[in-house]
Amino acid sequence: MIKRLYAFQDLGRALRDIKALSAIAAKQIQIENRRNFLGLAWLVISFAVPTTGIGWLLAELQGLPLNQHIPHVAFGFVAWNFVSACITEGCHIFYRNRSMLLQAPLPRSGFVISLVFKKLFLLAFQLATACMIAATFGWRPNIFMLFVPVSILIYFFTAVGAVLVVSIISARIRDFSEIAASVIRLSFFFTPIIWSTSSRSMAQSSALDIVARLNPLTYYVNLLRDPAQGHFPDALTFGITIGIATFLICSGLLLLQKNGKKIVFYI
Amino acid sequence: MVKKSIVLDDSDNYPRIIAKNLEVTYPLGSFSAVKRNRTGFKALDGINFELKAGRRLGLLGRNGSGKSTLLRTLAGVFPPSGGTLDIKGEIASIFNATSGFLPNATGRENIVLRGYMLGLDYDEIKELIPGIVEFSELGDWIDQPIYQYSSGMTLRLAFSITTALRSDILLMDEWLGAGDAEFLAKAQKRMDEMVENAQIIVLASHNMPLLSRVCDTCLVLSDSKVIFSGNTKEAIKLYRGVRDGA
Repeated sequence: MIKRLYAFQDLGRALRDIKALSAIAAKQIQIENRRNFLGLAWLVISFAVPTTGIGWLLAELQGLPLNQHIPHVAFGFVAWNFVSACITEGCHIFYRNRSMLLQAPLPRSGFVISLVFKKLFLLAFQLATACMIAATFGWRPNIFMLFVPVSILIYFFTAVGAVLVVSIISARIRDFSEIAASVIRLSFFFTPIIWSTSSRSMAQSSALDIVARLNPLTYYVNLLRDPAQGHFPDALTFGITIGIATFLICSGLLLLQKNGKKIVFYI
Repeated sequence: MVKKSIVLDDSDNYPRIIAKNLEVTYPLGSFSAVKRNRTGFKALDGINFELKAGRRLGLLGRNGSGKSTLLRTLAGVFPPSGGTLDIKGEIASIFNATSGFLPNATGRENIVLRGYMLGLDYDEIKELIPGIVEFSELGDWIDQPIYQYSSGMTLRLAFSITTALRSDILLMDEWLGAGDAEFLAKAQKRMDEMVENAQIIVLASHNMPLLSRVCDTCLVLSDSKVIFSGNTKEAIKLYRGVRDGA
């Protein structure tokens, strides 16, 4: 019965060729950086420079020690860049691949998984860069980093669900991508990426603390940042992130079942 | 040449295309309007035909009459909104040879990307690459980014990729031709081979001598409906009459 549903057939066809999807994702990163003088080095530079600069600035403004705050910001940015890129680029995934979708009945979820792979490869680049930045400020690898692959696995499932949802809604309602971009821009400031809930100014503002606790993105950032900084993510972080991932995957499949075939008419 | 996996049908009707009262409606207007009034543009309305092995069907009609929509519906790109469509057989579709090329990617990389677009898996694409490189005559250029190619070289690559597949059912939106006089002759031969090897062909074109040469029957479409179905010669005569009378 389940196998007959369009959404599962689509997902099954995409997963059957997962090797090609990951190869395409890697190739796209390489191709996008090909004509630059520094090539793939830009992936490191474009992450390292703003991260270190903003980390230093916010540490000074909040009166925090550099050796704690710069690693906090660097690992926070790794998580945030993945989340924001998946949502903002996910909104345009079907428009960008219009010519391919009009050529053959390709599985819609293949485009989604390929985008998530691409962002995961970039996350790996940025995580390595964040480790190097943090190491120059005294950070050292720890045993809890063995948990990072589990965090990445939860990221993968959440991102597949989230991109499915936003891509299908954006294909149908064009304004949605603008709304999503605005929400993501605003969320950056309400998520503890460049600030910390334990900082001096935060201790005085219980309202911000509540916002951070109610913001689901906080838990996604903590899921990667906590093990990188030598803590095990708490049960609440696990519960919320796995719960959201399940909800998004189910919602994505539901939307795919209802609108997947008709996407070609909307783009 | 690679042949995609085929589910063998042991009946005599393999391959086949049977369309009964086929309808395709494009949703138009705002989200709420479509939901409320079920508004939309009927791009295909009550299309009926049956094709078995050995048939070559031509599609004639003015721009916007529904030829490309019909081809894309047969290819599985557009879902029918009404009627039934029964297709058995492996389909290869040629709609837009050069679309989807990435200028920063090399010719070889574009073969991989295009192969995926045509529904091949990674191993099948790898198997196809030597033949495509040889037929396109690009030599060492195949490992250069295609923004460095001349338009003729790009077309040669697109043609070689698109025609590297064999299938039971071939769907074409206009005939392909590419390159200089020498390559054009080679391309013509390859197209004739494709037509020869495919068991069912559906070709949409405004090139009437070509339709006469390739197709044994034709559908003439007008305003999303079939206004004539039958012999190619008579179809061309009718289409000319409709076109010139308009």
